[in-house]
Amino acid sequence: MGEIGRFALLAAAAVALYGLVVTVLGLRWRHGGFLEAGRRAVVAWALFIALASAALFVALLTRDFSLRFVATASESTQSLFYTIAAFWGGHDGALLLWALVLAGYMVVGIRSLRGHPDFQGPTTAVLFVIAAFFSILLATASNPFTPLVPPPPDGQGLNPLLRNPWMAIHPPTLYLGFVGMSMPFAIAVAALITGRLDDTWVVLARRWVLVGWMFLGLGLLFGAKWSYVVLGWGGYWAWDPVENAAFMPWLTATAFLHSIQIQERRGMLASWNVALVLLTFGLTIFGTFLVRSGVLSSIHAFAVSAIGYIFLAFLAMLLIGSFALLAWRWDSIKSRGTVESVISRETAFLANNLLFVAAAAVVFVGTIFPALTEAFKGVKINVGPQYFNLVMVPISVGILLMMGLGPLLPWRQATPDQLARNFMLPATAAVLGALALAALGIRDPGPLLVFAMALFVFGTIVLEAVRGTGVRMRRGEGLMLAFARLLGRNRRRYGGYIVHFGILLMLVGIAASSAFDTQGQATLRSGERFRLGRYAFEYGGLSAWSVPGIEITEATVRVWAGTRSLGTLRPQRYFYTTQGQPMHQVAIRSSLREDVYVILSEWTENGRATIRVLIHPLVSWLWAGGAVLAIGALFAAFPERRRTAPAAASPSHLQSLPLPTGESTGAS
Amino acid sequence: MIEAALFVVAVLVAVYLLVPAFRRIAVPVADPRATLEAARAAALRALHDLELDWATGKLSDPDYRTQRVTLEAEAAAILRQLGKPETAR
Repeated sequence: MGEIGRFALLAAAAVALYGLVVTVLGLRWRHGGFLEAGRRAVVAWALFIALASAALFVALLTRDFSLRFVATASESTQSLFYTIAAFWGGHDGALLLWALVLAGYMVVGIRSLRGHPDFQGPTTAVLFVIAAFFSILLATASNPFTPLVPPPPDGQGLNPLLRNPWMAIHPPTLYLGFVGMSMPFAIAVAALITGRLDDTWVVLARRWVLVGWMFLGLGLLFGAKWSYVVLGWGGYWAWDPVENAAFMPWLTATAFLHSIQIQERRGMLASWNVALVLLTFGLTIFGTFLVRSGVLSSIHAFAVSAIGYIFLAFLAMLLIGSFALLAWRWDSIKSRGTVESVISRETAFLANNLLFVAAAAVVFVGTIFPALTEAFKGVKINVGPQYFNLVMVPISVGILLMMGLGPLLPWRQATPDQLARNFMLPATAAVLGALALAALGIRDPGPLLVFAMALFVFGTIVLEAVRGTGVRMRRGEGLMLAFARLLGRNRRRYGGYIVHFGILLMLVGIAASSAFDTQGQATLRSGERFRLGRYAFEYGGLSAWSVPGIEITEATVRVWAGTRSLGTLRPQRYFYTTQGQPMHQVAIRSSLREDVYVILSEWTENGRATIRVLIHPLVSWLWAGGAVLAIGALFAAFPERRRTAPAAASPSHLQSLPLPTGESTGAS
Repeated sequence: MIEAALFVVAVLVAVYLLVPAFRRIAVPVADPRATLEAARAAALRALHDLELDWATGKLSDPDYRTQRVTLEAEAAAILRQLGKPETAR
């Protein structure tokens, strides 16, 4: 397999360079044959990357320890599932996965631009720059088919930290997000190269950003879930540099998804949108640099390799090149509209954009601060979660406020009457909700503010759904049909509201679980109990057994809420014999109200065990919110049906205000 | 055996990639209609959104009229350029 893999990677590098050269020459000389050769090179490159990937899968499955990568990422006792996951368990395989995802995006993306040949050529060229970079890296410094002489009798095995289903799906999902941003980046650069800076590139890029954004969000969430169930510290987010690396492009992509609406509707922020797409892609490469370089301490140190600084050089080249293009085209990117009133949807979207970019900047500064202090003072100083929480909580509240205000404000301007009519109910809900929560004993201002703002936003979403459904019901549609058609025929708008609802759930879950968690531990003999909050925990003894490569110790813990038995939880401790590494396998009883999180900390020969318990309120809301977010993003990304023009696109048509039937525009 | 198979693959791919470079193929020209179609879709979506905003009470009647006149004029201009004015269904 090594021979096939090495050949495929070498061929892929050659094809990527060939594709880049013929596409650039085809564009420069207006040579249709060269451009066709470039398009064929996309397919050939994807096939060679797929061949290399297949070869690596076969090498892993057949335990071909003559390859260094296979010997370091797998072992003979490894299960089939984690043998497959070992593909992205080390940096060489992870880079091949990156290239494989890019290949998929390129084949589909370039094909989707058939109707826009003015974009197709330059986009292909830009994507080939990225493809060539990864191919050369894979064929040389980061080759997963590098032989190991002599081959060891067995491999070292996948890092135990990675042996979890969430970690198995976290990297591919994250890469679908990271690499997904290549396509809008290439389209934006194509627009800058060709000078086609009208709204066309925004239309072409939007769906790709939405898909990449969704995968990035899911990848972040899967990583958080892994941290929650594997690391055994009870949390899901630690402002780790590698977590931040994926969070930053998600923030700037979120800003882009909002600001393109201002460009489409009001002809404003055209250059800002280009800058956001360039920045988002730059941040994905920066994230890869952080993961690979080891320049910052991270729980993801297993991915460190020497190629990090090659990524930094590539990032510098991309950013300097693309922003130089933007500066060159700056004068030709003109805004067609202006802000007419401070109280308008565009102002709310502008404010939300500034907040998202400010959040990305805050995370960026906090992330690179240790590297900066090391460079200037010789010692790494971490800002710690306190810095992030201190700055991000007010920004999050500001974003929540804009999330509620934006959708209920009209474009251009709003009158005081409209403001009162639109915001009275949500604002009342927020105030009453806050008072009720305060009466129930929640006095911490941070979470109280988040809950109140969440109620406000939830009120605006409900109001939008009720009013929209009401409009359709007045035309004679039944409740369910009216609601279904309202959603189905306004996918972008209501898909956005579904996403907002998902974000609400997540923020409420984060605020509650961060502010109101309780924890305790006790060292117990079998049959002894201890209490935490409304729960009692009875330790029922230890049991131990082995499976190939792992020694397992399990505690039995019976849980009661008052006098009601909630069943038995079985926290475990794995000891991976090959790696000599212990790992927690926490036991979690999850409900909508709270998670009971039980860890087997340690035990003694005489049968005593230390059981640690954490109670996290509303954590499940975070995961549920992520699912809702993904549903909303898919809903919004799905193509809307083609609209037909109004009966008379002329002012005379407006003499009597038409009923907002939708059929009058054919567009409902 | 593997070397021979890989050599054949390399030759076949090289032929696949090189052949079009020696052929005279017309450079595909951007269809202005594609851009206009995108503009048309955006204009109609804006009109639809405006109507929904008005129907759900976000816009006063005068603001609705003013914005609708503007958006319809934009849509009409695009439809004229497309050369296929459509009527309501």
